[in-house]
Amino acid sequence: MNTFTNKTIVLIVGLFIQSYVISQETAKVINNDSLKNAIDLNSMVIFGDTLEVELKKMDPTSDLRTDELVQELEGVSMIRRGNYAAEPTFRGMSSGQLSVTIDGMKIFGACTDKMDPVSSYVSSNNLESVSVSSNSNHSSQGSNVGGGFDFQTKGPQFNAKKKLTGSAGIGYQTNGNGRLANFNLNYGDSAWAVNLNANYQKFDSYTAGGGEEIRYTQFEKVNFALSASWMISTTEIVKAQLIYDDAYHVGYPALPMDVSFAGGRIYSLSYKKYIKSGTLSIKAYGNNITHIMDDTKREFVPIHMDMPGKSDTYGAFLNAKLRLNRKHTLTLNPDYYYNVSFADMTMYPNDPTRPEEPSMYMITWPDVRRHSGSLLLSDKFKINTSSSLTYSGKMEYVTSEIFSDFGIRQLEAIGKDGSQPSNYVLGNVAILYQKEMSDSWSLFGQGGYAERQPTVSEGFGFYLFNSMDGYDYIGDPSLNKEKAIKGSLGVNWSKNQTRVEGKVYHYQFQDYIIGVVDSTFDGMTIGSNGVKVYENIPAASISGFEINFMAPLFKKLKFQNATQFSYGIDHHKDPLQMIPPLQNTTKLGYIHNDLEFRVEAVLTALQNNPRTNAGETPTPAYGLLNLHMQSPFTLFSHTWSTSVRINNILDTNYWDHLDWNSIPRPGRSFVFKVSMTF
Amino acid sequence: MKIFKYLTFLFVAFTFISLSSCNKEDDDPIETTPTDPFEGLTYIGETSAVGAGAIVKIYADEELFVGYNTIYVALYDSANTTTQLTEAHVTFMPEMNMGMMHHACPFENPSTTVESGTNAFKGAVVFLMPSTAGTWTLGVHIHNHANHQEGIAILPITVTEPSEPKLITFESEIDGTKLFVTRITPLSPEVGVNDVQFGIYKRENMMSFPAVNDYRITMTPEMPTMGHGSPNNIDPISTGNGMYDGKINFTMTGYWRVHLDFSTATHEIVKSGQYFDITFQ
Ligand SMILES: [Cu+2]
Repeated sequence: MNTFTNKTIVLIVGLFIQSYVISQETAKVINNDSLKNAIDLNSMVIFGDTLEVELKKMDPTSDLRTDELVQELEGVSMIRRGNYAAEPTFRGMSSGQLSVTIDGMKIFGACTDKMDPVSSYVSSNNLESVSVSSNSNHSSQGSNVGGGFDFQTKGPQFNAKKKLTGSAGIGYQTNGNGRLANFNLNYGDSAWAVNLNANYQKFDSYTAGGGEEIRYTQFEKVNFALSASWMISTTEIVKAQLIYDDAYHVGYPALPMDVSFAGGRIYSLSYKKYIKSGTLSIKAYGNNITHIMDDTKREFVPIHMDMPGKSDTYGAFLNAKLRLNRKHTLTLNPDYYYNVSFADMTMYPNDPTRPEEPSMYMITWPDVRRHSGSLLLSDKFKINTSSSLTYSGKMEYVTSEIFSDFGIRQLEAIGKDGSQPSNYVLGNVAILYQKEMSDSWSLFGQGGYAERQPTVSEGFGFYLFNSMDGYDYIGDPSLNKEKAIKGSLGVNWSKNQTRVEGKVYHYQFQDYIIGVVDSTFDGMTIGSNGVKVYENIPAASISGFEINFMAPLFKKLKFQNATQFSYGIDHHKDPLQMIPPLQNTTKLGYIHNDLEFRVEAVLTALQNNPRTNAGETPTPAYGLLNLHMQSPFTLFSHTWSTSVRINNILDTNYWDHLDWNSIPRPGRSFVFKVSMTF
Repeated sequence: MKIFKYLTFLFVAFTFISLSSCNKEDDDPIETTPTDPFEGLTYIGETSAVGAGAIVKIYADEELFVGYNTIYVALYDSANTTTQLTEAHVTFMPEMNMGMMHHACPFENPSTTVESGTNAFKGAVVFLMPSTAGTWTLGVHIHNHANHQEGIAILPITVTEPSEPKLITFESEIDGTKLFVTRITPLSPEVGVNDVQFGIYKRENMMSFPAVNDYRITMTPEMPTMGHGSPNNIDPISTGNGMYDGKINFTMTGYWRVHLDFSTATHEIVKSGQYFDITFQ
């Protein structure tokens, strides 16, 4: 089934059989296709709220992009500003409220306009799994109130039957003239393993449903990942990793600027040891993110601007998982990271009557240096064979200081004191109770209290233009931390291949951080509506539910239906922004031998609860139909795979509530892909 | 015991001397030149105050320009030119000869005590026109307290128009009085909060330009290129001698226009729609 490793497990996640590649690192193989095992496996990879973790297995030759994969996860909706690097949100929470990591590494985007979510620095064909957890006390997460995403990349594989294996694929997407290519090469013996992964994508502007070309939706991206593992002994592995990601000429139709270059350099060195009662891993890492915004390709630009940004993060963590006895499994996770964020803006006047006028300059992220140290302790207590209690606590200390005198003076000019460090002590507790009521019934309840510090933009940003609501945003170094009390309940019924799962959740926020209009300030950006200053509002809440149903209809036909809904309001009972409307996805899959056929229908309801003072308008309902076919064949004694995908078959002209400035999404598109493994 | 003390002292002194001599060898050129008390100032010229037995040397912060100029008057004994005179009474008599007419300009006479460091008498003169329109002379009347004699030094000077005007002139809408407003600070504007100082003078006659102390100023900075201003500015208020002090905020570098409206203490409009341009990088 899978040529990549000698150890293969098969899981059903969602509807379809997908292969989960598990290296010897995890030292455990599961050969069972029930979902419960998927969850168990999950809990092995990810600590904590097992039932709350969703896992999407990655096809090594996937023709989906990372953001398209993430979107498949329950509770996840994407904020789109263009055709590239959609930003994942979870249950109506985004950016600073979530922790986003790659292999547990803290990475912070370098764009003051959030054009580069962390997910944009990892390529889909290099992904082993993506997880989303609602637990704020997930190992190696940064502070968050809403949970987090972790992108697990593929590691090199030891001990392959063949020492040298690999895959290569090319593809073409009609809408946007998309050219795709990927490549993977793995060398593995019993002591050494090296993996090289490459991915290339180039798209022109796409056309929306109905045929309108959406300008500035082009992009070009190349991603390389090199990793090497050395098995020192049967219980010790050292691994080094390097990710090199470059994107060029990325269009952002929802913003007044594009991106001429976005680059990520991500590297790590880790050591893992298996001990009798658990595992011990240590990782040191760093990443350097560069982001260059550019408006020179745009027409009608009143003033050209250069807006480069940089974000460098260095960190290390230790993760010890110890089975104390049959009942208790302890996790200890001290973590430290350091981030420097700097962004500035140079504006070039072009008044021909004043040729001597110099450029204007300001710093938008004033060299903010942030140190964070945290300690997470958790215990999974198996009460008996059918129930368990997982409780955890985390303390984090974060200190952020402006190192640019220019930046301090800028803030002083608007009446804010940035001369002293902003310090936060963050406390998080979480408790999860799981019980199997019977063979088919299980339930869980989860509760927690979480705190997070403001993001660099929320604390120190200086006139950051948000083209969604048309306001310039100013940070406040004296913001309070945001707090949330959260709870969720879930029930699961499964029998044979049929499964129903329902979850309800509620997040009650205190000191919720949001931009509030301050009319004492003038907007800086030409044409802006004014200025919003990040403030703590006393309260806000988000609640909602997720329902998932899957069943085999006939022997080879499978049916899945998923519904998700979130509802968010502030202390005035005004709707929160970027809250996804009710969405229902139905998938019908047919698998015969290796032929795979899938139809997907997405129905999204009208969102008529917009946050009007955040520039939101009601978003009409829409429906989509997608189709996917995949079939392998053998040629020249190699396994080849072809896939055809038709996205938006009905050529619907639509946009989602989370799409900035209601830019229509792509219309009908055919995606062809051929790949081979060797 | 005493001998012991002396020996210790000698030892310390010797060590000190040898150390400093070592230093001298290391960075000879910098250490040996005594600092010039007038370093950083611009030398304008010198002449003798006939009758007062004094040589008058004039320095300023920069070359003289149309606007508020801080003037440093250093006096030297004409018999012994290395001796600086610090006991004197200095008054200014600036004058512009425009052929058909002569006029003076606003000024602040120095106090009777000298500045420490330069040992100069520090005052200010607000030149109203550039030398291209006529000939400026700076008259300095000296009452030398060392010899109790008086005299006048008259120095021809050149006044230039700065690239960005630092003086605006208008007539009061109330009574037609000719008014002069000069921007004194910020000297080197920067992003952030800047002290801002304006001087307001009126023309009583061609030779008398007294300070105006009872006006109100409303100040609004703007970036004309982008159409925005800056928040939290503090309107300048009168602090005497025609001076008005406030705070001006710049949120970025570049070209700023500072709009000014003038009114009386009783809110009668004197003039509105005036401005200074300030460009910095
Ligand atoms: Cu950007």
